[in-house]
Amino acid sequence: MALTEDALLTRARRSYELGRLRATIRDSWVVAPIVAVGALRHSNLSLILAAGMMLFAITTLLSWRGQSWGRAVWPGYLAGAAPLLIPSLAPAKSVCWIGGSCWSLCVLLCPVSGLIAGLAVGVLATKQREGRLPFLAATTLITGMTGAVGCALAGFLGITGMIAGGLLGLLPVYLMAQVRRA
Amino acid sequence: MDNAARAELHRNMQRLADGDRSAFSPVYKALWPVLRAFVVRQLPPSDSEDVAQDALLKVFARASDFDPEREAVTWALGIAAFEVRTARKRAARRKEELVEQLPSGMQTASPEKAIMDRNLEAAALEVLGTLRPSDIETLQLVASGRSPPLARATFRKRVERALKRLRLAWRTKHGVD
Repeated sequence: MALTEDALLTRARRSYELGRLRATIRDSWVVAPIVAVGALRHSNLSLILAAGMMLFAITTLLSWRGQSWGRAVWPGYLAGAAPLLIPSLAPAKSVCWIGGSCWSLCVLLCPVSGLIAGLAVGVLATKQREGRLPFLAATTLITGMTGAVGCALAGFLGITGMIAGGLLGLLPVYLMAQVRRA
Repeated sequence: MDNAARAELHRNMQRLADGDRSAFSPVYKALWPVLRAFVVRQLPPSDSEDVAQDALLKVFARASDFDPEREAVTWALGIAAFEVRTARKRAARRKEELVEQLPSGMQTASPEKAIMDRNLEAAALEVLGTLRPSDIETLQLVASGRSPPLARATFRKRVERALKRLRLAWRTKHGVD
């Protein structure tokens, strides 16, 4: 039976939102291989699964929201590839001494790869013509969650190091671009 | 729809595909009359409103998949055309099912022909009822193909007489052969 004009408008809105939700799979499927990469390299499964689930939820939400938030998903994955993959390249049980302390190499690689990711996010964000701040926030979130899956190899210490390295790389690039623009 | 309106709709459709909800109302207002007019031209009035609404809902459900390389109106009409085709197929299937539900002897090329056959059969039975019982029995034997319990020449004669009386009764009742 034909709908009234108001009911049709409501149904059309609902169809649009459901269609957007269905389309988020184009962005969120990547979470499965990211979690698989993390799970194949080490045994901290609960941390990886938690990060993976959060990444999936955030990706779905951002992709559904669209605009700058949605456009940030793939750059986020790209920047997050560094902390996802680099720490696991360190040979097993390899250590180095810094300031009289013994550090596992993979723990040290987390802030380094976080720094690379931070620089990448900063550069990508400054290239945005509009909606720069939402893009920056969303990319940082996705990069952080993707990187957390990789740095879970080194536990919470590795994740903290990655976040610190990321902020160190991101903030100067972004702030310099803002100052130059002003 | 003129070129300026088409271009405006295309821009709004792009925004909607990107997730800009403020473009929803302009797209709805521009697209609904176009889709409705298109479907009304293709289908009978009894189906057109439902199909047009379905097409509109499909367009919005797939708005996120809109490719900016394509023209928005053409893209939306493509979806509507598919809905029209589906509705036509559905109607054709309904017609076929109706014919299948008729008694096996009445399955003919069209429902109209089936109704005509049924009327003809009723009229024939009515005329048959006015004949003598012996004529009815003879004609039943002919129709069933069973062998008659009497000499062949006698039976042929009886059939001739029964048919003659049947024709006469038909002419009397309906005025034609």
